[in-house]
Amino acid sequence: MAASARSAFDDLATQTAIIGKPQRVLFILSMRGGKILASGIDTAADGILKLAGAENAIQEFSGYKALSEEAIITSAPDAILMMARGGDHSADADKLFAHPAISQTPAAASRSLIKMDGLYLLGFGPRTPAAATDLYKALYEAGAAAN
Amino acid sequence: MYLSSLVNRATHWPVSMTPAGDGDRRPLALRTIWFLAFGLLTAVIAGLSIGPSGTGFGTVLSYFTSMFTGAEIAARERIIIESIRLPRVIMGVLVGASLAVSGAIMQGLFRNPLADPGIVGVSAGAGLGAITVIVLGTGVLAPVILPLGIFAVPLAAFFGALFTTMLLYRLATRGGQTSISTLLLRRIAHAAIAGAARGILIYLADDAQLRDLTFWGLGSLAGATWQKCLAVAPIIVLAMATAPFLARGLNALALGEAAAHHAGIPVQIFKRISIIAVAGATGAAVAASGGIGFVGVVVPHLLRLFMGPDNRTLLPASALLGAALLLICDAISRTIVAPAELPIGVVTALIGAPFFLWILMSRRGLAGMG
Repeated sequence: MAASARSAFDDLATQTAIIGKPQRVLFILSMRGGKILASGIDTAADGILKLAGAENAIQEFSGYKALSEEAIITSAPDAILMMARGGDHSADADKLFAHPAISQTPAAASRSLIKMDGLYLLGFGPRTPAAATDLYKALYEAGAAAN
Repeated sequence: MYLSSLVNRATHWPVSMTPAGDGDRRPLALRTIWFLAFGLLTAVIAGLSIGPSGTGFGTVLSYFTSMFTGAEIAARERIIIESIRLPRVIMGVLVGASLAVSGAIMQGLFRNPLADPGIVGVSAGAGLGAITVIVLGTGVLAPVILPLGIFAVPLAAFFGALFTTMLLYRLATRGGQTSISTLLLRRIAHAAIAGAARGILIYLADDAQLRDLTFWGLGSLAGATWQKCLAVAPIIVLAMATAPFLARGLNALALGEAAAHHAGIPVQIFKRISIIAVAGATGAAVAASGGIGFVGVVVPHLLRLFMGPDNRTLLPASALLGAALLLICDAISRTIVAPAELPIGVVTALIGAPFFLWILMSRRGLAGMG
């Protein structure tokens, strides 16, 4: 199992090594009432983005914090990453891209929203190589929204 | 000498209803209102011009001139000003004004300069109403909540605030006297009950709701949209519109309920209207922005020290200063740790709490001198 994980990581590393311009990705934890909680550095989300060969759009703070609306525009993400969850937390793409600040990002222009299961994406367990590869494919092969 | 007489008069409670002679500070009060109106205008312009994205005063200026000249400005700048900063500034004005006016009305109603929606627990009641809707709104209460749409949270906060204010007033007032120590003791009991109810809701909430609740408790104007402004504006504007009619009654009430009755004020009806106005304004403000403390106690108190306790001028001045103060605090909250946001409740508490301590200290000083 360790060997297969290692080889999966190696495969992914060779693929991500040839990326010319990494995609800037904004990970949004929640957006209740229009207030956006996003991931900075030193988080599981930041880690998986690095593995998948993407660049976290927010480098200025660590942890998950409330992001100011204007900072979303200036951070100019190419894609939005969210956790797929039941109930009212999973804002659908239309609602997300209708948000005034998000509507001004390159992600909205290409309607790039990636939703993945929270535990799969951020669990950092045995499935992490597969999750990172899925994220890589969603970002660089499928092009636009994988969901 | 002059200063000490100023402080003495301001903290003398109750006060004369008819300012006359050398006690007449009405001209000063009117000048102050003009000055505050100008200050609010400055704060609005600052609120529109300050932000982490670098869109500054020049762009704001060209945005407004473009309305007349028809000149084009970049879509990005337009969105930042029109959809992000402008609703936020309007929300700040609404919330700041309603917190400060609620504080001023409550101080008159309780005849105590330290009453404030936050301190006596009205905000906690409003918060409990709002949290209930956030946590249970998609579950047990969904059939009641969903048809209300965006009005659900403001309405729940309003009823929470109304219930707490009525309970509080009934419990704290005996024979026309409101005792501050009783009030504070009751407040502790209320806080325990509200805390327990919150605890149950926190237990029921999932992880994302928990995070929402934490940040919500600290207050923020982030996420203000035109739609949300429209949801809270009717309640706040209605509550604010009653304030000018309440001013005379509050002045009379400062002499005591019996005196107010003899002055021709229908005391019971008057108190009920005041309570509903406070609950409406506080409830809507709390629903829109979470727990923003200290504006309600600091603003009216500062103005009372400066321009005297006449509610006819104190209420409008409180609205202006409360709005301006909140806009400045919001500008700080969204730039100081950019690109993240510092919850505005933290900023107002950092400014408000030392001021509150200063009030307490200076009152003790006065008592020692007297």
